[in-house]
This record gives sequence, C-alpha cells and structure tokens, in this order.
Amino acid sequence: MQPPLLSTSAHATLEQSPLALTPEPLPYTSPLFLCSIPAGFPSPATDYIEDGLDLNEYLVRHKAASFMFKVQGHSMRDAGIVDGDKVVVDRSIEPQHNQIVIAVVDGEYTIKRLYRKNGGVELRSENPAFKPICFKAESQLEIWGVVVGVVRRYVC
Amino acid sequence: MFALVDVNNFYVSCERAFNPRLADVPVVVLSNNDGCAVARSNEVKALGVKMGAPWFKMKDLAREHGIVALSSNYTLYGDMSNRVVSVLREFSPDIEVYSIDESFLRVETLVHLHGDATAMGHVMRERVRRWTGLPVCAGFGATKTLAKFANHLAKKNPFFDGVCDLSSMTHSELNGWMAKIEVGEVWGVGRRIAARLETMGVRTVLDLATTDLKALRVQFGVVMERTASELRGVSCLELEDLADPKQQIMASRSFGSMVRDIAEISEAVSWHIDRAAEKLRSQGSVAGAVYVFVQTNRFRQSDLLALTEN
Repeated sequence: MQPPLLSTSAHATLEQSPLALTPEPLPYTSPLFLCSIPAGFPSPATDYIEDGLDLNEYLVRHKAASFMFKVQGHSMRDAGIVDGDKVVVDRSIEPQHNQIVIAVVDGEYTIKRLYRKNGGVELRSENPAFKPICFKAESQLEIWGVVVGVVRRYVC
Repeated sequence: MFALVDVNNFYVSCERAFNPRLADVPVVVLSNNDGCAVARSNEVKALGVKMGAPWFKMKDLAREHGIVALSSNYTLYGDMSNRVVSVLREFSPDIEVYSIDESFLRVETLVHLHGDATAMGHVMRERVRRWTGLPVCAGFGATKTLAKFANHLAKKNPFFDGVCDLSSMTHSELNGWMAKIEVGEVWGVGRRIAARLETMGVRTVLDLATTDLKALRVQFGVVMERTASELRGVSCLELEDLADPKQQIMASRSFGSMVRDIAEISEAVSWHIDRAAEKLRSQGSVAGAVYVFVQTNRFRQSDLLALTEN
C-alpha cells in the first residue's frame, strides 16, 4: 500500500521520501579559483590557494540532521528555487526570520520563507501568484527544517 | 554507568518522520510481501494486533479503525538508524550499537557535563528528536541489564517522561519498581525461561534480583547468574566493540494456536526468512545454506501418531 499522495495544490510541495545523502564525501574535489570566472574567458593569472571544494562538505554541515527533498511547483520561483530542484534541509538549525524553511501545513510539506512579525508568523512565497499563509502564534506552525542550499543539474 | 537509548516503535516512527499525516493514526508496517506486521504503532498494539500478525487477517480491523498499512522500507530504516547513532555518538564515544534501534553508551565520566543522568537523557532525547524526527527513550543504570530495565520503565511509564535513571532512586524506590515488573521483561529472560522461573516462584524482576546466585547457576547456567548479578548492580558485561558475526542465524516462533491453513503457514515462513535475512544483511554476511523447517506440535501425541500412520 502506498503512503498518502502529495497534494496537487499550486503550492510548491515536496516528495514525501527524502533522498539518501551519500555517506562518504566524493573523493574528487574541484579546484577553487582565486577570482570569479566571468562569463567570457578565465584570467590567465588564476592560482590555487585553497584545498578545493567538496560539495558534500559545502552543503552538509550536520550530516545526521540533513535531508534532501525534491521541489514541486513554482511558489519559490523568485528565490531561484524552481520545480524539480533538490534542496538540502537541515533540521538542527534554529529557524531564523527570513530563512527559507520546510513547514508542515495541513499535513503537507511546503517550502516557504519564514517571516516573523508582531508575535505572529507568516509563510511567504516568492511568487506574486501565491498569498502568504498567516499564523497568529508560532506554536501553530510546525517547521520541519531550514533550507540551507539548492542543487540543480543542467546536464543529466 | 550505562545508558540504553532506543527508538520508540522504530519502523513506524521512521515512516511518521516523513509523513506528517500519520502522526496520530494507527500504523502498521508490513513485511516484504506485504504479508505480516513487522512493526505496530501504539494504537495498533492497543487493538491487540500481535507482532507478525498476517495482514490478510487484519483487514476488517483495519477498515474499522483506519489502520494505515505501509510496506517496509529497509533502506530508509538503515539510514535513520545511522543518523540516530551518530547523534548519540556525540554524547559518548563509548557506544555499542546493539540493534538497529538500540544503543548502549558508557556515560559515567560524562554525566556531570549535563548535571545529572536525567538531564543528559533529556538533552539526548531532545536532540535526536530535533535532528532526526525520531522519538527515543533513555534508561540509565550501573549495569547494561539495569540500563535496559530503566529503559523499559521510561518507555512504559509516562511518569518518567521518557528518561529513567535508576541511580537517582532510593533502594526502596528501585525495589518498588522491580516488584511491579514481570521477570520476563528482564534482558536475557525469554518466554521459556520466564515460565520456568515462575514455576519456581520467581515472578517479578525483584524476585530474580534477590534469588540465590548459585541456585540460579545450577538451574539455568552462568548467563542467568550474570543477569541476576547485573540486576543487583554488579556489572558483568562490557560494551561490545565489535560483535562477532553470527555463524548461524535462526528466526523461529511457535504458532499461538493450531494452524491448518497452508497460506498462513507460508506467510509465517516468509516473515521469519525476512527477519533472518535482515540479521544476515546487518552483519554483512552471505548465507552458505538456508534451512527451513515447519514442525507439528511436539506435545500432541495424536499428531505424531497421524504422521507415522501415513
């Protein structure tokens, strides 16, 4: 028997099962360049000064508390999170005002920006087509975790 | 001092961690062929559904009470188990992963960092819940057997709010709790041994703790003597660094009542194979041979007679 299906509402939702994070960091690390690379040609004076970027380390600070979800929908489009993106969610972080979070609303996961004001709290979308979800008290809102990063591949 | 931390209704809790709608709903997790219950939420336990109960027998009950049945997802459970262990490891480097959902920790030099064991237990509980979404209980005792007993108290008595530290109790408080619990709940006392102990007048945990050790050794062997010593606060068991991989893995159980239906028998066999294979995978082994047996009731002479006649 399948677990309950995700709602098909217009809100950006997430697949119910998180993807397993790879347990070991990738052995390959990409070289970290001193200067940013413009869209044209890289500077010939580039040098390596650091060890290199491990993507696992960059995205996952607390392995036991980090989960990956796949985004569905467009409500966070203007934050640069689009349908099909993978987001890294950290449950160990205390959610701060203005951070993007995963919340549970009416038994469904939703990805929104957390907005605290006047003792109450709102979940705001980044898309004018979506209205904010308001709560009189923070105790009414269940925050599942904080979105610490988004991952997108262009070439499969 | 030892702590025993375990996850409440582990498979069910893993499923609930990723499906908010299941929070207060009766849930059962079924074995690989969607055959038998391998995990039950407290609500399902309260309905009298036993471990290993076949799903097809529960369908009416499920409809009546809205029981949600889920297929087991061992990849998820293994991953979640690793997460719990890594959170606990930050509290003590001396940790023994006893099973997929239970770990022993050695904590005597670390308890003071949190105030006392109860405080440490609450911090651990809170952090596991925060980081993984899983609910755990913690029991603290001078020995592994006592830690397990404390964990049982923590889990079954809301009075403890999920954390029980036996060392914080007075002698009479501890005896009081031991007198309330059946001897079969002691770690290492299986159903058969419990039945034998009961015929000898040893019915509660307190009874076992106060039974003469030599007599226990004579009747049940040195392992039971150690168990009773541990209940008295004498530590006989260390944390295992690395458990030796088992050379033989058995999963079997007697049916609760006479079974005549081949479908029921084959479901039970499937469930036991499932469990044995789980243990095999968890120690990273490969089986050289698989032996399956089904047995008639040894205690019914008439059955034996019927077999030999044919």
